[in-house]
Amino acid sequence: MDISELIEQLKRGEDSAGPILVSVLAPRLLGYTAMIAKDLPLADQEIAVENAIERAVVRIDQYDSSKGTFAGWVRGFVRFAVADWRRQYADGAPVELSREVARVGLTTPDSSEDGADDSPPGIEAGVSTLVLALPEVDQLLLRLRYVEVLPHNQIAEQLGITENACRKRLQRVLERLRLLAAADRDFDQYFEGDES
Amino acid sequence: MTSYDETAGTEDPKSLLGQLRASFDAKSHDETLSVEETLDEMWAERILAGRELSGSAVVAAAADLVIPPQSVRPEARKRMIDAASRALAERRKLNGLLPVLLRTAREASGLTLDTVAAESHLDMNLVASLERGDIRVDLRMDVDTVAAWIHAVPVDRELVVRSLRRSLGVGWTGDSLLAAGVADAPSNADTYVECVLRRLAVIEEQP
Repeated sequence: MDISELIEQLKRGEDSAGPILVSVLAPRLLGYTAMIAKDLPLADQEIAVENAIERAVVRIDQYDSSKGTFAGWVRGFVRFAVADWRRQYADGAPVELSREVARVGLTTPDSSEDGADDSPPGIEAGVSTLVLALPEVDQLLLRLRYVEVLPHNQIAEQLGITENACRKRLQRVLERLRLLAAADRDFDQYFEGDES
Repeated sequence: MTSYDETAGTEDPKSLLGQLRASFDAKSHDETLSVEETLDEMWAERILAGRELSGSAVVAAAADLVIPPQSVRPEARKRMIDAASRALAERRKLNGLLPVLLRTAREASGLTLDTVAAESHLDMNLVASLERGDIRVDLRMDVDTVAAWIHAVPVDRELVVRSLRRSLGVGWTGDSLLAAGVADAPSNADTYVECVLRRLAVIEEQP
């Protein structure tokens, strides 16, 4: 069964789609949770995946295949579940929920107080345009670090390189991206003077 | 429009991943950065982190491949399947007949039958009977009643229309012999849905 067929079955609420979804996604979702939340006990990592699967099925109508892969979309719910776990159980851990909430289409009772993204309309498209100007290998590296929120050491481990090499390479990509941003008047104007 | 799931099957994300691995030369392994976050990294955290970056489909698919699978314990797998089943059961309710949808939506919103009755100006016993299915939603049902009921429950209009059509499809569907006495009732599901939507528009225009 291909992914689009599975998604249609999930939309129709077919019970048989549940075990298939778990078989297809759970191993990589659990692997992903282990990468972004190594400090969580295994049982809690499993609960994060469980929550992510439940939330994704409930909101399956919101999945847009023109914006990313299904697995990538469900990983957004894992990030949300992990952030939620940290907020509840890990005192003082830094948590940035608002963008994740917006991205996966969730609302929480306190989301209005969570610090909404105050970027002007269209800034997301502007950032995407800048990133698209980079070679695909660099786009991939940026996606792993900033969209998938993988730590440098985890990216390095999966690519078979050292953490230093990973960070240095990302640094070069970022330098290139900042040059592109500086050349983009609208983009530069919005973020000008907002740096440390 | 690109479907990332389909494109992921036809392009070659593995090759892109291979290119990325190959692009690290021996020199890059020796270079070191200070432990502190660089200005560029701080800038990227602000500009990039958490954004939904649209990019090429092959990049998104390659990112999927970087995540290593991890075996799932049988008891955890069972809980995950249970979680999916719960969510699918919720979806079936939303895909069900109108009374099931409106009851589910009412309960999810924390509204009581009283509140819905007051908002719709319908008798509470009538609303309860409608929810239980004691009174069937079919072509003979008064359009104003259905519209008032729908108006009183916060629920996606598209879902309502689908559920209403399903209810009209399984109830009385306009047999001419049975129509005696309800000559002014809509004669088919399409007309009925149109009448309900028109009535809803009127209700929603009222202050």
